[in-house]
Amino acid sequence: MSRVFVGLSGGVDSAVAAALLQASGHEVTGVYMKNWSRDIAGYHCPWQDDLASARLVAAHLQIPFKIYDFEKEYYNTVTKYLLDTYKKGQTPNPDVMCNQSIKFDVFYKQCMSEGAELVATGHYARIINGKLHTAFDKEKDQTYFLYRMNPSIAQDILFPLGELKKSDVRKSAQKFQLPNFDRPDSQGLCFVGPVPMRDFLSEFIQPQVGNIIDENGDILGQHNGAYAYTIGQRHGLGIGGGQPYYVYAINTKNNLVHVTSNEDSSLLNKTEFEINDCIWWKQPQDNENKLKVRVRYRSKTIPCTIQKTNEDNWKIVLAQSERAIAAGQSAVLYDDDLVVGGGIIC
Amino acid sequence: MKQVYLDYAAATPIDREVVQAMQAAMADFTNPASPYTSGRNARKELQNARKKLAMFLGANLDEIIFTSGASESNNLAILGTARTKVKGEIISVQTEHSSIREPLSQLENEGYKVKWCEVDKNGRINESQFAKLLTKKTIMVSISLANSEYGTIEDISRLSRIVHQFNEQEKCNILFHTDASAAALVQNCTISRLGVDLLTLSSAKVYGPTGIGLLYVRRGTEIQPLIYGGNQESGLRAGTESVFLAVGFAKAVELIQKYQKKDDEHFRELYTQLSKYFEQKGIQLNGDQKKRLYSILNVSFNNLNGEDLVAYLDIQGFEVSTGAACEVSNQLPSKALLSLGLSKKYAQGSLRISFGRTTTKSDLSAFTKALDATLTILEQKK
Repeated sequence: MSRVFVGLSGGVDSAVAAALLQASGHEVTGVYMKNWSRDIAGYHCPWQDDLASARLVAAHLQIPFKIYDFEKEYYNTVTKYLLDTYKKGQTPNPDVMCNQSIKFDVFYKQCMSEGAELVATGHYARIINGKLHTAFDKEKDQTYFLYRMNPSIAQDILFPLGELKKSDVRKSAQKFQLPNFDRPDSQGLCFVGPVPMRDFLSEFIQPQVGNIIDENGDILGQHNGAYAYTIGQRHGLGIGGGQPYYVYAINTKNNLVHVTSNEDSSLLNKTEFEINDCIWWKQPQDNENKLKVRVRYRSKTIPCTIQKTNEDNWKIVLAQSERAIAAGQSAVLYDDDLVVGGGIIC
Repeated sequence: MKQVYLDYAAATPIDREVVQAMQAAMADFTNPASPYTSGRNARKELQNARKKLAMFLGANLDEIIFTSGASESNNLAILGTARTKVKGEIISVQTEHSSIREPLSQLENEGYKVKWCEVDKNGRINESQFAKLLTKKTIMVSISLANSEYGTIEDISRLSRIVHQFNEQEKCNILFHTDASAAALVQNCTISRLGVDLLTLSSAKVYGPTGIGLLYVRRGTEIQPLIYGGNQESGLRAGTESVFLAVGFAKAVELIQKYQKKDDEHFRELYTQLSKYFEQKGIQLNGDQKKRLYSILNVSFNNLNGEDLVAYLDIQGFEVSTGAACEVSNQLPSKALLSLGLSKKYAQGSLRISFGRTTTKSDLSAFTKALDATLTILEQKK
């Protein structure tokens, strides 16, 4: 049995993860990660409630409790990356970055330096022989967020929920009489809580009025900053009347939002794209055609062929067209339930 | 699971008699500033409440200013008086509640000077050092009657006498403010005894409703409002007065007089019981052990985190805190305890247990049992 440090967020998942590890005989320590505490745009940051809930869980399980403060690291990695990516007109994924740079980097390292033999979180994923695999609960699978964690530390990581269904986790929480068993799942981004991304961004990026134009170059309306739009977005264009429009391109340099009313337009639906800045759990072959790819969290996987274009760039050719493939998001490749790796969509 | 609440210093329940008085007063919704019969009746109700509160303090009716609570009263006392002068010095102590420290730090930003008086390890002010801090530039002193975290009672009468003597000798007019919120249940709060010019009282700490407090302002004191608008409260606090809250507050204060002796004996008994338990365990009690509020007991554990203790006790049904509720949320060690010279470790390991009228000896026995169990668990973890 090992000395395991578990990241306790205050939510049910991580609490059950800790309880399960303890029940199986591990010596468990609970750690709350403080990554963000600032209130944003009139929304209250719930970190104190989260911390109190995590502490109650630790007290209930009678395990040692620690607080690691990574606010500075979080700001310097995740928040800066988030803002930079939006400024480029791309769509970042802060959860992917948080797992890569915070949870499975600085958090992992501090746990190990304070005596942990293994580090666990309440993620829905599995690690088998040092490889990352999807969770049994396909609805909850979080490998899309985890593919960028450092593969070389995988043998030190435990995901106790990987073989459970969310409904079983709720039941376990009741069985263990966890004090937070009926706490709702956290919504939205881990750190901004219930804040809409647009409001969050407006705290950091000066809004600037620009034009919304269609594929013919006609001006349809105005927006408050192209950076806040996402490819494929249908709502919130502020264009009155008639047919819906969809964002197919964002140009932050000229502050333009390009839209089309044709849902089937090839501007919006693509059959190929490129990725770079890749992380591989299993090095793929050039022209490999047995893999499937996922281009956003919880979207279906699509059969594809992958072609190496240069040292770190790969071209993904889809077997069928996919809507709204957004630069900045990740494309994650799967060989059945094994995570092969992936990269950032260019 | 039986819930045992032991954080009466954070908030007291509303007394049943107070609820009844408020319910009766709620039937009348009229604005007390209205010129017709029901408005006059509401005004009369409000004045009756004011009269009861004035009597409690031995003050005149026009010296009672209703506010939203102790924080607002403290802000009004400090900012409202200082800002009638262009600049000057204010004397206070670092052990004060944040609703005193923060307006003082705001005044520092505005160019005023704040001088912090030292306290000894029990939280008591060094009188000779205090006297030396007074200068002709001093405009005000703000020191609480009792500390709400560790319970030490300050000798406000003696300190105000020092200020009065200085005022006479130097022909100046230094004002004395005291926050009596924590002390009001068991301490004589009459103005003539305390010799203060400004006094804060809270309803929420004396079995009255939350959302109302008062500031006593001695006649002739130069003070300006924080909230501008209508001419309510002698022009010092705009906003329609809440008659039913005032009635509740007045009733609660009336009950203080009724229960004071009993409360005092009751709290002493409970304090003796619990302090013995901690002494036997060799755990450090904070604050002056003689001149103190016996309703508040503050201890420090070495090498244990107060927040962890609160969580362990919480899941066993016991509700205590690590210190002032307004400050625990920042997860830093109590500033008040650090000012007593406690090490960061001890300050972080502090626990505040505070009693109420309905707390029983068996509540405390159950509490010590739960704490014993908790300490055993936490000791093993070390």
